[in-house]
Amino acid sequence: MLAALKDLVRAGERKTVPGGPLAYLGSLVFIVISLEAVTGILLMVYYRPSAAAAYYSTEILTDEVLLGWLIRSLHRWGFDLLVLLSLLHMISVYFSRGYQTPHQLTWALGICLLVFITAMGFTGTLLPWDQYGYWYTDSARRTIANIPLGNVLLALFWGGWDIGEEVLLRFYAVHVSVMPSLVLVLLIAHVSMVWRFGIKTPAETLGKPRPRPTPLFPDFLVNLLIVVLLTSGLLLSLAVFFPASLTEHADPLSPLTDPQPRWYFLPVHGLLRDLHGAAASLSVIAFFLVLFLVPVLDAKPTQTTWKKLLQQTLGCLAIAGWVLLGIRAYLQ
Amino acid sequence: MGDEPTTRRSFLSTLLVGTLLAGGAAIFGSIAAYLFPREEVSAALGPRRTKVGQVDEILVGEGKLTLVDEEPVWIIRLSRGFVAMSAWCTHKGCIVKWDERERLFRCPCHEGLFDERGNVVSGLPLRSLTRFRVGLVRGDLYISRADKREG
Repeated sequence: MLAALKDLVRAGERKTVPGGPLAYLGSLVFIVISLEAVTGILLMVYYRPSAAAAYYSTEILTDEVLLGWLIRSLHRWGFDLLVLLSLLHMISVYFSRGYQTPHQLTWALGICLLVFITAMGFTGTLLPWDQYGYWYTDSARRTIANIPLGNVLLALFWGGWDIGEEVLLRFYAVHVSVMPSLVLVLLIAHVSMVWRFGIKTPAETLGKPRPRPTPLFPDFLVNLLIVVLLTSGLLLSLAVFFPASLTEHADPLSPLTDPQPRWYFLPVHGLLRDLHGAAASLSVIAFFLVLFLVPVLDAKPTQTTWKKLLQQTLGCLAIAGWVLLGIRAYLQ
Repeated sequence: MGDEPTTRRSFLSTLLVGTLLAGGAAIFGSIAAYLFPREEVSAALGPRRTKVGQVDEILVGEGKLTLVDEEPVWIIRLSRGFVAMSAWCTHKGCIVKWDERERLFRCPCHEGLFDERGNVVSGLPLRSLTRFRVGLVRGDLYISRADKREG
């Protein structure tokens, strides 16, 4: 067995990873996803998905189970961190034009992953069955009812036209089984593509020679370990100093007017408030379609400056647009 | 000691691996602590619960009378655990007394007898004593109603 391990180590020493700091972002996303999966499974040990017991089981988990508060806070903050890292990862790949041939499929898988990850966050918010989760999900339901075919979607996937026990069970099944399976499959595909085709470093795009690739083991892994330790430090500090809390038990008779969504949903939330009905949802869907099509529109590495300038400008505009939307939604 | 002197590289390597193992042990230890079943958790308790006292106050066979929402409630420690039931006799509402030696509730008004589960043994009462829920939370005993809104 020792010989097999030695072989593995030597193979790792031979395998190289393109240099550059941005290479660590993707691996960090992977690690945070794993952390979410582990804390999620631990939470499943004590959480009970019924309208009667969801709130109390979450309360027990947070207050009485040893380190329950920590697991829950890590799960909550881990998700915030996951979204931030995924967005940074996507932005860095976009600006370094890492989606070009042959990485187009990798990019598409990545966008799918982003969508599924946000879906997991959305379904997870309802699970504690507290006032905030309940009424936030309700406002989302009203939004979906407004888009074309919204009622059909609600009937098929939501479990009804209001928020009751059936909806909770469905959200739980999606959050715990459906989405994780999809995310796992996509993640394996995405990482396999990266291993097969490599990644494109910014230096390449500028026409400079590639920086010396780092061997996977031990250099890249040790550097990754340092990054992971720093990130865990940040995450743990957040979890310890700002532990996840619970608002009161969900009360269908006392609505929360306009519960404010988490920061990553703020831009969409603001958009949905300004453009009524179908226009807003369709614009969001259109944006994601454009994201999917980016590697099709800009497939081959070219030296033409105007195309590159356009791509960079559009990227900056998109980011600025989303950020401004978010700030505006927050201030309202 | 080995044949070759310890190089800086190997020393640092050992240090790194050792730290990783220690970190890993800490993480797995925390997960194990989290998963370890605590004392009977208060999952059975409802939203409004009344604290009775510490679990050490009542010995096996003994009982304690407390007020829960202005209703007297007996909490008894049996060998298999705690039970709680209303102290109002189901006959005319007198407050029953727990007899430790006989392991029975006696009603002083008309000599009604209930067993340790609150079922009628003899006498005029027809219904058993109303059960309450007991929960243990970190060494403290709590009681809540069993009939109202599910909790």
